[in-house]
Amino acid sequence: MNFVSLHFIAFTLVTVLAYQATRSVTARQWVLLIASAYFISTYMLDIKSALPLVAFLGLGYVLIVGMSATPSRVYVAAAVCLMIGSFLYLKQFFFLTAVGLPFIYATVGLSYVLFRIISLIVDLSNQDIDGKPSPAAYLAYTCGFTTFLSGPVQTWTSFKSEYEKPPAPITEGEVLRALSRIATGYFKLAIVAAAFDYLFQNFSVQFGGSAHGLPWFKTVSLYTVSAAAYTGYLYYNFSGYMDIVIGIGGLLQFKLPENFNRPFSAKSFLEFWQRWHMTMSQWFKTYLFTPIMLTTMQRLPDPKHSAAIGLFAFFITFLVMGIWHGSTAVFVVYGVLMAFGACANKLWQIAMPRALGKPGYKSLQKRPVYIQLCKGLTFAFFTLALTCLWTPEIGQLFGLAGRLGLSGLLVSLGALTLCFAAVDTVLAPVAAMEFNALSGLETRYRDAWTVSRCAGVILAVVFVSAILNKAPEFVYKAF
Amino acid sequence: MIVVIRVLSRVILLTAALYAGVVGIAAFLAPRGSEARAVDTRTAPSTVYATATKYLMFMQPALREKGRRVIILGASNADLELRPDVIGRTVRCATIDNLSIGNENITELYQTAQIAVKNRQFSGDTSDVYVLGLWFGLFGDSKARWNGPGRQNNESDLDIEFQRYGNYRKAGDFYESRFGPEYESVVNGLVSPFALIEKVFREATYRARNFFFIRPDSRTDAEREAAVVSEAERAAAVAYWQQQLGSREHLAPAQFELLAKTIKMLSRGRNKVIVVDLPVPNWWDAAVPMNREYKDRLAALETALAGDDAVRFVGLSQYQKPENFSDEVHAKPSVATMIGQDVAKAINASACESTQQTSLTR
Repeated sequence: MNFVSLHFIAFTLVTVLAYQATRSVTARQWVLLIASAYFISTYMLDIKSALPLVAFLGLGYVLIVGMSATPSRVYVAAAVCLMIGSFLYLKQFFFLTAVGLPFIYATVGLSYVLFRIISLIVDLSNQDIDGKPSPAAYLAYTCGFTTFLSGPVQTWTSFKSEYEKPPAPITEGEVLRALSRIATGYFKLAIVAAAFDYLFQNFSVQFGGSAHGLPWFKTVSLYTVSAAAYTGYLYYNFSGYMDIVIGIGGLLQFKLPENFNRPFSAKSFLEFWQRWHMTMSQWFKTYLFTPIMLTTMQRLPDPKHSAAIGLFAFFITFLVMGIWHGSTAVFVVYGVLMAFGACANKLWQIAMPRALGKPGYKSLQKRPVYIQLCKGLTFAFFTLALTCLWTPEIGQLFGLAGRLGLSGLLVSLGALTLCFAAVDTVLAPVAAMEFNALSGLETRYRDAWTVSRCAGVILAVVFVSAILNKAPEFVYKAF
Repeated sequence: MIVVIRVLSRVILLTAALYAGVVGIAAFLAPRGSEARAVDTRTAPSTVYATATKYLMFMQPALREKGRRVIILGASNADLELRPDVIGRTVRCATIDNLSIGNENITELYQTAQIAVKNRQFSGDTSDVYVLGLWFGLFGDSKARWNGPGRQNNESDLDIEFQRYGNYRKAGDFYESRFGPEYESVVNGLVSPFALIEKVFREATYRARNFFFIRPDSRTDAEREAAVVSEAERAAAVAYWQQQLGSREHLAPAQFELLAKTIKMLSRGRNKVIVVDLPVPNWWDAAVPMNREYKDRLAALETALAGDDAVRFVGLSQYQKPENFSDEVHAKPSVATMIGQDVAKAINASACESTQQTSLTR
């Protein structure tokens, strides 16, 4: 089901009206379940193609139900490994392609289902949550239509409190806020992201494929603008999707966690990942980074090892996070790049205070030029690493890297850093000024403004989709 | 639930009101097919419709007027060399319509012919003349010509246009108005804001798109007249057309079958068809084998249709010298005028005079 389709809009409308038509918690839970089942069914070719997902969910529930009140570490480790192994098999990671199932099946949403099942297993074993979920609650948690495709990855505790809370009549303010959020999402997804995609498609076609005779500098220039356009496309596509699902959550009076917090205002790569796909980063921090740190520190308790342990934990976490994005060998490269970025950032944070002294480093961190360059470098590195997401074959990726050469990649990195720093220096204060100026008006005429904005966005989305002749796809559901 | 419905109703009402406003503006700015006397796709960029395909879709009613028509079909060289204003100087007994679409293949030419035939049926028993401007570049397989994002079934530009707004639906080989011909103009009027908005976008981004993406031939007529095509430009043209045709060796046989079908469809009743073999520079003969294949297949088709008085073939081999062309396929302006005049004489013989033969007939 495409998010920019009458089908999805009608589905959402029916779900919201059915949900709001009742004041019974149970009835609302059933509306959510039925809606989610219908939503997921639209991604299935037939019943057989849904079987692997059903089996995956069933295995997860059996492992959760089979846990004793105080499960052994072996059971927990085995359960987590079994889920991860099933996931790798169903997703057909590149080293498992020879032993796939003999029919076509859907893997959409599987990554996020895995996150939720693992968190349930681990949290239950740590007794961080009270009691095992009922089958209905388990399905609603793992397969809720608002979060099924690509998150946000809600914790069980947060989900449960929303899932079981007593219904209250929805107010006009809540509806307007939710619609405003949905309008923002559609504006990002169907207009801004579509415009970036248009730029990306038209720039990348000029240096890809048969265009091998281009001069080196032109290739580097075209690659650089294509990569930047792709980053814009991915960000607005993904954050737009998040705005839509959070807005729909608002209409259902079901609070979902935020997933983005102005990621490109980050002054370092590590800070960037606290602002980009925040719920996934938090999940990796909780269920991978922290356990690695604790386990390794227990084995190497000497404080002199702490820096190395931190680097090791960062490397593993970011490597896995990168590899998780896809099943081909390209994503191993992506994971290595993410790990390199995180470790280089950590090493810098360790080395600079030693070199400049803590006051010197703090003083440096306050300098506007340093801040802008850090923001620019973060954007540039992430942008170059994202090349892995639009060159699906490893040969294609290495071929492109070969054509650019180390010098080309460095020129591209430098150009993106400086351009981003310059643009951000100009635009950030302007955006803040405009926001302040408009916020007063928005408060005064909030209702009329929201309704007008929604109407404007509906028209704009319809017009832009017709002009570009395609309804924009949500790109992150492929990861 | 009532609160949700109330707020959504306000949004929907305002959306409808805004849309109605844009429909009004579009209705004011857009040319109406029912009021135009002739169709000329060359004028599309200066209208709100911007592209030849969109212009053709919205201007169909202009083809429904009674009276004899000469309808030109072909690609950009037909558009350039068979100009209605040049042909109209000689052919005075009919209205000249130019339905050429740049860079098309025979599949799209067939679709254009269907547009013409379907709309001409509204004016009863017609005695029109269809002029097909051909060259070998039209005979590429649709799989090579129409591919890429959004063209999973090798949809042509006309397919894309007729599918874009939902106002048409596929019926047989082509499209019909979704709500029937009686509501066609109303429905087209309702979707015309899309064309208006697209036009605004196109105008607003024209310079940027030209600078970054598109390299249109912006030469003046004087520059085209003085142009000399270099070896490098020839090599680039050969590579380009090999890619467009999807082969280095052969044209698509299905495209010739479709041409024969098109000619048969157009020559029904009292209509006539003039098949014009538009000239290309003779260096193509040595560059690719496809030009020879095209000539041979066209000659075979001419032989097959030799007994059909409604079909006439016109050759223009006297213009094949490379110095007559401003690029690999388009004649220089002065030569284009001469070609147009020559073809006009052939049309005149078919449409306006009783003479059945001209010196141009092979």
